[in-house]
Amino acid sequence: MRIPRSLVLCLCLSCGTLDTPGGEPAGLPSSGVGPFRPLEDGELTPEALVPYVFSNQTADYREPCVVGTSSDPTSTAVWMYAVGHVGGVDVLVRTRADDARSFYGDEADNSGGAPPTPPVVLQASLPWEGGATGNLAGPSALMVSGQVWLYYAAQGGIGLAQSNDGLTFSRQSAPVLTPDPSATWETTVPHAPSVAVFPDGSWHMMYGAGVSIGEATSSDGLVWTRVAENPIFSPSPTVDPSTLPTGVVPPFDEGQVDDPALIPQTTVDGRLQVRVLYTGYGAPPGSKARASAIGFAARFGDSGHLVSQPDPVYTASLHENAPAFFEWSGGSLVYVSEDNASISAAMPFPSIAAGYAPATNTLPAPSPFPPGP
Amino acid sequence: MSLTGRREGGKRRAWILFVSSCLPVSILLSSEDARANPLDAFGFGSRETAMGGAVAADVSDFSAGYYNPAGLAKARGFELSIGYFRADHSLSMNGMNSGVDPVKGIVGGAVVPGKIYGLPFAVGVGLNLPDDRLTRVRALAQDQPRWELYDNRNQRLWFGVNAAISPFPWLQIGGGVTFMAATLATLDISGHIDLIEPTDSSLRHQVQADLKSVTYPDFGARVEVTKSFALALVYRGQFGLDLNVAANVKAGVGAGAAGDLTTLALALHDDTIDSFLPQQVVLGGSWKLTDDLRTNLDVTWVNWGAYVPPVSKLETQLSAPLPPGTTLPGGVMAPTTPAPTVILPISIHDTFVPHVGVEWRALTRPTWEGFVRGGYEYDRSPIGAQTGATNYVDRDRHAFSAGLGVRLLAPGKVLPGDVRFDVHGQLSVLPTETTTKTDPSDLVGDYTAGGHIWNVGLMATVGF
Repeated sequence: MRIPRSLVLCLCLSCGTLDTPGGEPAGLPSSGVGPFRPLEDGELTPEALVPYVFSNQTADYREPCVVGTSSDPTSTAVWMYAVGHVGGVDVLVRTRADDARSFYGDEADNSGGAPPTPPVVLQASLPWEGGATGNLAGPSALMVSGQVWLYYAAQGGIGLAQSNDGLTFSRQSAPVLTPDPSATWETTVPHAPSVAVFPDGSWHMMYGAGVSIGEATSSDGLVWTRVAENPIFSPSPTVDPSTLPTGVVPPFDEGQVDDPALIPQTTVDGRLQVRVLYTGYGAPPGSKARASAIGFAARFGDSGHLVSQPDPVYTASLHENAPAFFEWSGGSLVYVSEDNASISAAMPFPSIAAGYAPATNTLPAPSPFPPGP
Repeated sequence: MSLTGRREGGKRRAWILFVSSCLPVSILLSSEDARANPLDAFGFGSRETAMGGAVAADVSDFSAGYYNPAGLAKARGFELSIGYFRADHSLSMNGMNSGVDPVKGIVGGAVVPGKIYGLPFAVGVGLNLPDDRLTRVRALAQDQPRWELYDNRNQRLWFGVNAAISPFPWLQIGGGVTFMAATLATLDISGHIDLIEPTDSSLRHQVQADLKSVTYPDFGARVEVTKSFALALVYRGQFGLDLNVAANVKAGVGAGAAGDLTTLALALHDDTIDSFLPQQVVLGGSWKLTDDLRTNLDVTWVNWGAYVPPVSKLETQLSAPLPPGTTLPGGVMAPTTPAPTVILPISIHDTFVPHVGVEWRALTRPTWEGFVRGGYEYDRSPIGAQTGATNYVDRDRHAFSAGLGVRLLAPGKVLPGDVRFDVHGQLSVLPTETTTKTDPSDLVGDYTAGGHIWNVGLMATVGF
């Protein structure tokens, strides 16, 4: 008779067991391009203003591009090239971070008093750049056989500068991509270049022009030819909001698409996936007040038009634009130009903010600011 | 007391024991906790799992409540069974372990045979009691990759009550119910939010939760065609746990002593079907090839086509008007009510699941017998290729199982029947395959998925 009573007791006790903490699944597959969330407290140094990683009220740092400095997939050491307003003109500066977040020269990098000044690596001087008073914009850097190749936009098109140390550059005397009168969709000078070398060795550049994004290819990174499919990506068709159900908003990028960030990868199935982050605007250029957000478009294969996600992958309602991208084994970061209203809500200034994916994960504590650029 | 009197007394004691063993379970039901069914994936009982679950025509112990209630009528005497099993997943996507929690817990039940109007009759209860959690409800976004059939559905308590009768010596029929639960909850938050001094905010929370039990039926029949061949037909009903949660937030939003600037109102309603179990029909056969060798074959039709994925159907109403006289900066948009979730159709189809089992009485001694068992089950994945936005990850499953059993015959006066000990091991192999997306801008992208699952357990059964 003991056995059944023991069983009854066992059943009674078992009914009182409780769950143990489960946790979310780890290592879920992802294209790596978001959705991103803005960096949070604890992911930047205590002195920093989240989510801004590179900010200065005078220099107005913006339009970043980021390149990893190590082939180690776990490394977060990066160089950042960005536009800064120095000496009355827009120039390209360089900074670096060991954790991809704590950038040399950020306003929070002020343990010795004023933050250090990142070096200017490129300033307009050539005639096609507008001379000494010209402005540079839209840097795109990539590592090529130990060199840094830095594409940038100026008054007359897209140029190229090369460096062995990432600080001292020698530039091509002529732009590598100039306006094409036969390309009627290019209603503005080509700008905002983003360059990558595909697995087959071909060079691809995506750039903004008019309200769309175009593509050019090259065998050496010096001589570029526009593709026949241009523009390869255009704004979403305009939708009348009154025709949409409650809660459904018009496409965030029905006014303009710009600032491509080109990120090719090979999928687990061996397919080439051309990933592109871009700025989507809700209204055409020149509109009095237009919202923007960061979108994601892509294609399979080395040619063809891009298709996009209907929803942004990063949004902050702070005029975010000009995305840059860095990924490592611990996730991926998007860097954007974004209004910084920390000093004056009425007069915000541009700064570089960062978002992280997977959005449900948390970054480890930040590293100290590096001692040099 | 005569022998007959002792037998009648034994039956009375058996019924008392049966009622006693049901008591805690009944208390559990009256408290309306949530329950569901992990048995489809990992079996119920060591003998049955070792034989690949191919026992619809060859079961008479507590596990008949799941495999075929009609089998209860073949019970030879009052039986109590208890055991433990553990299934560990090693499932991965893109080579990264998906962290699917193990499923483990106590398995047991009782069978009480008797007679009604001279016909053999029996009642049985079966219980699968997880020792980590009684139940888990998880509603994920439909694009989040998850092992749809393993990640959450098996974290359940299962309890079945069945009865069977044998109107003819060659026919047994039975049926019963299995208890599950539905959840209804409301969360209300009201008060004041201070933007400048968050610590001065005062919010009142009120939670109301109602857990209601639901049931699904099961029926079975067993026909002895010959002395060495039996057929079985079983039906298991369909159910889904209805998770219904509403949240309402209404709070004045202000800054310091200036009073409320606006009133924030947020109403959220989520209605989700969780742990859907499709209806099933099992056709089984059992052949006694020799006195010591038996082989079984079951085929289960599973109505996966009716599957309702556990996707959160969220509806939200948001109201946060700007304070009078204020405007937003250009390009900055006020938050608006999100659109309701649009549930994408899941590509899923019915399946036929073959089960094969063999039992060999390898040793026969005057006081004990030894058994060797083996089995195989093939679960073709019911879920179609996830080439679109959804990511209900699944793969075909090949489940190889084996087991050993010992039966002690008439071990003592206290235990005039027998005592059985059974162990099982089961290896489920899910071959790694690649899921490719048609949309190049899919945020999840291509991925590989596969892995294996180990399931081990043991049972002890006492027959009176």
